[in-house]
Amino acid sequence: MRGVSLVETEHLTKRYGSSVTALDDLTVTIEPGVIGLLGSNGAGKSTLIRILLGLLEPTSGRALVMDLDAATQGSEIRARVGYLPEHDCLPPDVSATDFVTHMGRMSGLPAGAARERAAEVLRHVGLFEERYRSIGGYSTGMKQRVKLAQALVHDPRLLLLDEPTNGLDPAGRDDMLDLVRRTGTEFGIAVIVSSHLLGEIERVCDGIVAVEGGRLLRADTLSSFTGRTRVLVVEVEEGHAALAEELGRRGLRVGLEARLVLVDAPDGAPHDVIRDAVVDLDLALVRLEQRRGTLEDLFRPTRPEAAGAV
Amino acid sequence: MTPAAPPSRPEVVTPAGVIYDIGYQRYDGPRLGRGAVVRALYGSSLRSAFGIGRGGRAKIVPFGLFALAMLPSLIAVGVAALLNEAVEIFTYDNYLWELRLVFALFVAAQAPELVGRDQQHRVLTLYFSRALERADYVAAKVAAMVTALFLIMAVPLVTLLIGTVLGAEDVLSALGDELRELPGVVGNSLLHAILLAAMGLAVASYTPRRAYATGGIIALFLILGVVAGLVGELAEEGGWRYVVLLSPFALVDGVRRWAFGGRVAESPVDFDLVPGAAHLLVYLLVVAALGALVAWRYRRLQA
Repeated sequence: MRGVSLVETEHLTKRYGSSVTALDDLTVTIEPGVIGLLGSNGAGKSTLIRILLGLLEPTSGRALVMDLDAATQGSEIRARVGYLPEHDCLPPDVSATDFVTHMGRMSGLPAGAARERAAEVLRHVGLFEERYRSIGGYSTGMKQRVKLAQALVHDPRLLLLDEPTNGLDPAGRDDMLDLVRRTGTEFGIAVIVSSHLLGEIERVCDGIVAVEGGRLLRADTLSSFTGRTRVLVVEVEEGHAALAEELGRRGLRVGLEARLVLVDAPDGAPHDVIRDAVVDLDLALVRLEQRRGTLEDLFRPTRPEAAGAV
Repeated sequence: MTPAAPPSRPEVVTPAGVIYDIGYQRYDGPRLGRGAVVRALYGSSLRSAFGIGRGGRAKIVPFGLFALAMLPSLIAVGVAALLNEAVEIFTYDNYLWELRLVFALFVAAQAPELVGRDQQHRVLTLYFSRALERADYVAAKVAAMVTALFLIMAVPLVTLLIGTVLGAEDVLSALGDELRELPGVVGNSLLHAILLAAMGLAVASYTPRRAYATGGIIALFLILGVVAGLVGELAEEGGWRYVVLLSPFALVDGVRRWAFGGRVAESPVDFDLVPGAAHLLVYLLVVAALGALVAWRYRRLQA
């Protein structure tokens, strides 16, 4: 027995004009939780989210959000959903407090309640004294937090986050992902978060919906997706070819990609071996890290072989 | 379930100014309907039409123009009080006509403030991804623009009216006389406010760029006024005499005169050439068409 699904789409298709197909016969059922919507740029992620909000009309097919029809019950869906768009959407000459309060009122909160909620959600997203300053002076990270705050101010049942880490530096990314994770797990708000980075989705989501070219590639729980990106990236200033050769000699499966040495590390991390090889060859190590999974890794089934070929 | 439960660990020493992370709170309070949301948007839009809630610089233009609009009525009242003589330069009928430039500038400056900003910064997406309908947004913005224009027109006129009453020798009979003018004062202001708001919003809603919108609105007033003036003077006869209706201020002055009477000396309105009912008809058509243009724009706009 299952309850009401979060999102159900049936043969959802969206064409712009006659040539561009953004969504192509997409049928998927998404259960509540923190769900990652994974796809490269132009895969149809934003289009799907905007159809779910009732902002775009599908060319054909049907979408249900919390059992409400996106085509006919858009306003009821939007009342229960918080949306963080991919693009900038904040006025520069207003303070975060005033702006989030206003957006709370636009969601039907009474004036006093909107002010309280704004203060609460801004604190939740980590904006403190700076929330009284004009948004125009904010960093990208702070703006993303304001965008998340306005999506949360009316306490939605579902958050639709379109590339919330866009334009953030690594620390900002981590903060934002933590925030998404906490909001989704601790407070029982369902989250659909889109990204083109598998690594991000891996960190915060319970399930993944992967789309490419407007089609569904795969919808599954996270565990079935993991374990595929155990690739270490080694970058040295010079002599990457020599390093690859040396690592191969020491028993590692190694590949070259441009000036990077890729090391397949399926069981444990051979960091020591790599370090020793670098020292022995007297090379300057620039970076040694776990490869951040991308769509490429996920959808190229030959990844381990590619990494293993010397 | 809530993380707010007080920790009872004995080693916790509470220094001054601890920050408790009480985390995210659910909201169980009331949620208001469409009407309340529209009223809230109307209120905030009306305030921003005067730059309230924005920085100091945003107030310079609207309040400067408001002061200009007030000036003649304050002078008239002041002179009447000091010299005990009525100044007859400005009447309820010609006040708005004489100051038409001020009102045109006001709508040119503030209509983009109301509808252009949300497009420029793409805030519109956040409005349209809420329960609010697009028509609600448009209704609130139009009502706010009409109200702002109404205020900048009616407040000076009502000031003039109050001043006239207080400056009169027989205040009570003056009050009776002047109150009879009140419907005309209110109606005239409303007629002007509706047409000007429709013109301003029809232009401003089509561009997110403030400079284009302001320039476009000023150009619209100028071109219509000049064409109507030139052609109207050349053609006093035949079908061309209707060209006078192209001038927004002549058009609305015609409707005013048709509804409330009283001639404005400088106005080209002449009911012998173009009947009053024609003014009213064209006025209604123009306002409806401009309103449809605004509605059309927001129906098409990608959020």
